[in-house]
Amino acid sequence: MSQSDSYDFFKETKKELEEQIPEYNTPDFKKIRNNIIKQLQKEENDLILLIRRLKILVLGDWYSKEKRELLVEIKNNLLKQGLYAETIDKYYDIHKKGGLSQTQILETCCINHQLIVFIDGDGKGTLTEQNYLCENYVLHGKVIFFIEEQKFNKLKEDPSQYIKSFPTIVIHKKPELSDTALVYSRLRIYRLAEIIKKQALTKKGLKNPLYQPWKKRLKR
Amino acid sequence: MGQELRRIHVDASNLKSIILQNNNIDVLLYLAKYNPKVTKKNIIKNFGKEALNGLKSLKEFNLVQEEKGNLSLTDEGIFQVEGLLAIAV
Repeated sequence: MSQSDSYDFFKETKKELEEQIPEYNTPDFKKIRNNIIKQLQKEENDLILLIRRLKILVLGDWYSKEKRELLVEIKNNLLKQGLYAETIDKYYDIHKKGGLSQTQILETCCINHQLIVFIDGDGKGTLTEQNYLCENYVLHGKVIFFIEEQKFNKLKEDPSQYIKSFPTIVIHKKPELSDTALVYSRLRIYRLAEIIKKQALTKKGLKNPLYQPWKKRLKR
Repeated sequence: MGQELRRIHVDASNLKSIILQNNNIDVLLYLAKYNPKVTKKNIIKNFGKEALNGLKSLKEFNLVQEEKGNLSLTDEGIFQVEGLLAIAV
């Protein structure tokens, strides 16, 4: 399961697509195009398209190569299973001084993603993320908080600890984090997709005269 | 939350319509096969001038990007094309 930090899912997938897609203007190219059209016209494939449009943000410690690799591994694991995932480096150069602050970047990230996979940590960046997520309780519904079993057992007896801020806590054993994150993220994303589909069909839950966009809610 | 979910549903439905419009699937497959060495000129030559409208929509949905005159799929574009091939092949 472990992958190098340099493994780039999109680069590798692009290479695979180049090999898989036949030369343009050949019968094989047209065949694939026609198959895609045929499949997209089937209603059951709408759910797949919807699921692939939902975005996951993987947040956690970023201060060492090992920590970065873990986040990238989780991200790649999700992407390989057809779940779109990003890490914060897509938006924020942690080595670059100036520009937008991490909090400003988080504001954008948390609005744009439907699920936040938050890995417990102790790094400076992770504490900023933790504080940001804790303070903005409107985001809590989007967050799944993953914490190592051993650490959780130490903290669980004291309800004043920071872990109280996360309503959804998943406890994991260290080597199983990537697979655990996949299992719970997939369940959450499929659940969300089902809700979206159902609401669109029944037209229930769609109209709220008091609705405020995420950005506005965060600023209150 | 309901409105947010509605927005996502509309976005996914629009994405489907955009992909099915004109020859956008051909353009996406073409870019997946040949980018980053693809320019607007190539697109017009292969798919006609009207393909530029489709290209504009694909850019709006963050599937395609243009950098220094070269067109390429974004990460999201690569991910979506992979998904399209997965259901079709």
